[in-house]
Amino acid sequence: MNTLGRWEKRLLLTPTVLLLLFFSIFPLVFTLALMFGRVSFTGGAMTINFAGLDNWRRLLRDQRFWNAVLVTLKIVGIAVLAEYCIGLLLALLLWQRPWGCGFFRVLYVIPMLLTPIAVGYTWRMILDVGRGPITGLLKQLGLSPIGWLTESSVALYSIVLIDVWQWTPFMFLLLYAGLEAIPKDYLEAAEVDGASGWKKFFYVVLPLLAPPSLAALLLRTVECFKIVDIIYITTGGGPGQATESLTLFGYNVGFRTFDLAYGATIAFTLFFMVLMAAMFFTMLTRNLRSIRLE
Amino acid sequence: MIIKNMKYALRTIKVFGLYCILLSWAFVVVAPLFWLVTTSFKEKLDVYLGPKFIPWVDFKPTTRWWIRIFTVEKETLLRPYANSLIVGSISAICSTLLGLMAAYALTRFRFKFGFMKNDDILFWIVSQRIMPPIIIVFAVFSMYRALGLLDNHLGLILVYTAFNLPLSVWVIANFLNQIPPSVEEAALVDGAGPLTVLFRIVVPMLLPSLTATFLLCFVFAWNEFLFALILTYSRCQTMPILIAAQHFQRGPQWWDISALSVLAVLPPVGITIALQKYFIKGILLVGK
Amino acid sequence: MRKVLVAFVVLAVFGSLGFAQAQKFQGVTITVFTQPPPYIAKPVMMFAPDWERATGGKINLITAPWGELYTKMYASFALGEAIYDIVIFPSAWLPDFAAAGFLVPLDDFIAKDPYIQWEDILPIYRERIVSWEGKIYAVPVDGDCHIFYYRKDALENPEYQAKFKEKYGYDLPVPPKTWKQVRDIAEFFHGWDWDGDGQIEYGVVEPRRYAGQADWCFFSRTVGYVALPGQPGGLFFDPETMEPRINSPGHVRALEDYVEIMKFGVPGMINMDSGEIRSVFAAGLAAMAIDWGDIGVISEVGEESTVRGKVGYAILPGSDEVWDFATGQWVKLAEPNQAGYLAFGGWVAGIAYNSKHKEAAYDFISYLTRPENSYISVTTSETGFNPYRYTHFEKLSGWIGMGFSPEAAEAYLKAIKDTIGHPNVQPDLRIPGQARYFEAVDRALSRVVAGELTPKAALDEVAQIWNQITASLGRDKQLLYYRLSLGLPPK
Repeated sequence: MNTLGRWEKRLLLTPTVLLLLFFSIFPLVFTLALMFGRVSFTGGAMTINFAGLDNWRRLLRDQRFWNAVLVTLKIVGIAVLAEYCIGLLLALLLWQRPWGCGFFRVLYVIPMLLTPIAVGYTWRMILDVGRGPITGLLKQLGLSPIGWLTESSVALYSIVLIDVWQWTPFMFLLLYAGLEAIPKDYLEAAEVDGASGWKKFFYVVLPLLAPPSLAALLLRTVECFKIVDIIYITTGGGPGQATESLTLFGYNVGFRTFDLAYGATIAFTLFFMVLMAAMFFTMLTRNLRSIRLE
Repeated sequence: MIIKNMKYALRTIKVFGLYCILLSWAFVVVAPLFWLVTTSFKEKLDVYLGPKFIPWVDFKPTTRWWIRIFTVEKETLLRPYANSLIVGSISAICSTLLGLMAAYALTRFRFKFGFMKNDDILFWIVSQRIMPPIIIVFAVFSMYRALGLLDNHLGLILVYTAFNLPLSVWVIANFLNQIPPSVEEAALVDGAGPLTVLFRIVVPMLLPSLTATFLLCFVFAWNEFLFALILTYSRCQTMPILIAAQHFQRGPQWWDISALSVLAVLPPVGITIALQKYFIKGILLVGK
Repeated sequence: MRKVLVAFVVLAVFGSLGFAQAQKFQGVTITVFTQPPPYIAKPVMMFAPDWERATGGKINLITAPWGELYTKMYASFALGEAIYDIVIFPSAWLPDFAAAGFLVPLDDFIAKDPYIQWEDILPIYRERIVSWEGKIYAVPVDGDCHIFYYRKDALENPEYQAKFKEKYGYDLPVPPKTWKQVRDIAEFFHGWDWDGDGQIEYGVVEPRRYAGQADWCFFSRTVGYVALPGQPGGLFFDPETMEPRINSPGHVRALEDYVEIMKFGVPGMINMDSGEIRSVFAAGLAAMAIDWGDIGVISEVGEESTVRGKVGYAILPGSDEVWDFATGQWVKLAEPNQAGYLAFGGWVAGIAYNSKHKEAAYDFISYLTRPENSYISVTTSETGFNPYRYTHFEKLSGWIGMGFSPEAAEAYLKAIKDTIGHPNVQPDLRIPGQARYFEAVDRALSRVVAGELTPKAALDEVAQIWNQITASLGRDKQLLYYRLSLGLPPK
């Protein structure tokens, strides 16, 4: 297939690579400089002095950092899992092509199309403990209102709820497509073999769904780790530190005190964590591919 | 006979259950949207002394916020809307196009740059999306300042194209892996030039997935907040910034936020509906 | 021929002179940067057209959301970006900007300006808020202090007053003078419909949200406990040693009040920022509140207000037990110690050091802030400009025109004037790093309020952080700046 000269081949790839390099080299260097430095502003110029591992030492001792790590891991773990399960359920159901499936398909996609800021404000209104509709309904039923965004024990799960509401469509779409891609013959063969319903699901559908599942999980996990907009608008990271994700923590440090060096350190930690997660999923995908080849 | 009835009953229960679930989730999706839309028709006191649910029953709806947006605030609305449209669509087209080229190259040819082979290059590209934007933002700000790319369309388009490239490359590469190269090889043997092969043969086969990628890139660019905030000042502000600016010294202006959010969601929804058939057929081939 | 030429030249010279005088800044574009309209930006938009017409210049208004303002200003100054000529910013940031050399000293401009009437500005604003190391770096456009708001129809109701006396054993003070009284009143009015509108009302509404300006609310509640007359610097640092005073017993007690009062707050208060509480109070949901002048304006004039004419205005309550730093003991006073707190200091307008149009920029600032025009700004709704000049308090017509009743206008202005002119008025923290010091407090407050830390532990932590910040900025320098900000001579 190598009828294209080496240069034409490279040309196809070059614009992409160049563009990405442009946006990654300087930022990476800048971030590395910041992570190991200390920033000061005098007379309009910003100077970075070398500070060794100061930022890192400070980070590892910072209880707020570990709290943010925990918060982020909790949110990602629960939300992505929930989005996967619900998305899978919806995809499976619509795969049966019930009447009206076209309508449902479009409807289910909508939450993902809203600006995250809009989603944040909408849910902030809805979960408002004083004047929100949920409180109104609870009161009508004679129950006492719940501080969805104001109780430390509940706030994090409210964030998960909002994230699930907004991003389940993403999983749903990818899984639905994965289902549609399953060749009819596989299913028919299974049926001929006597499998039906649950058996068909577990032994034929699920394994074939593994690759798109992993792809969807990878993409969604990467995005979810960076969660910030929703939290910023609804709870601002509170009550206390209950919902402060890593990105929000970095944002608060970098943007509210302009401690760029420390902010860069936090951001890099996040980057590292997400990289690990991505590599994990990629490894799984590659292993799966080699298994299936057998 | 009894068995037949039981089977029929079972099936009915299954169908009933299916629709229960579908409609439940539909309710979950629609309820917040309903709240959003009705809030844009509420008077201020209806929001503060809420919750007020049903228009005309619990509160008297008003169109004043909508009217204000389209008359007095028209200037403030038009610019961000146009900016978002321009930046969103152009960057989506670029992402899709460049993604197509890169994905094609990575799936059809073998590369080796130093120790990086195809899979590694692909992973590097995808990893660009892993970078948390806060790392990049200040660096890009200083780069743009030096290059004079602040507060203009080109600057935003470049950033969004770059940040959606990993997505488009990853998705398109997956599609390309489903299509056997035999058709292309045949065409090449017949004497067609490689670019002709790319555009006349591969692209039509990929059209559904390309539209899917375009939609996703558009939506991500349309809704992006952080870069738009830092890299623009006034000329090039986008819709998310406009919505965020409705949080005044009196607290969030819920009615304006709602109205603007509804306006902001119209183009993505419109595109989704229009491209629906392509979209579903498109991601069709992702699984395998 | 020569005569014609000479005539032509003479005409041209005079003509151009005349033309130049009418169009002083022809072709010059001044960029003004602040937060999005209406608040703070609206006056700029109001006065720009006239200024443009008079001078031939052009005003380009650029805005960014409040939460991002500091970042964008600092970023553009720090990275040398010469985008803005005029920046309108909270005066609390002035030390940082001035010390870093980002602003143009304005003394000469002001001295040569016949219109600005510098002496009309209240002394505390013109001498302390906008000056740094002996030079003036900005012009005040807005006067800020915290005052206390209460619902007259609740507190002055004889029936409720009788019930209150029964329950608590003393007369309901109107307005309350100590935070203990505020607590009792809040408890009394919490959770029932005391204004007969069919809605449940609550005791207080105050900001508690992180990054929602709750820290100023805390300091307003602290001032009475730590600011003994004659003892400057009670709120923040020891003016002799720069030791943080943030964890003094006075502060701890104020923080305990701050947490306790939430029991009697509007539901969801923990998530409300200073903006939201205004609308909540104006919608009639709370009996008392603490805020800048905005609640007054929104309540009397805003369309979402159900409390027009029902609002009482007063200086901040204080305490009859005050912490004496000199002796390290509580002292009990006969009369409660109530001090004013110039929370936030107010918005000010400065000129960027790298502006290419400093003259034109100053000209616009002068136009915007001269007595007649600033009076209009201050008495127009939704400008966010609160009074700061003597003339603002003396003329009532503008306030009445805005929608205040004469009684309300008088009461409102009296409360503000009493606060700003109070003998024991406490200025806000105005030293470099102010944002960082306050950020530490803001964090601590949100954690205490969420029950994650006890008040004492949290404030001790803040004291530690404050020491670190001071050390990183240079303790001696910070001490000097702190003393200057308090009006004390250098050591």
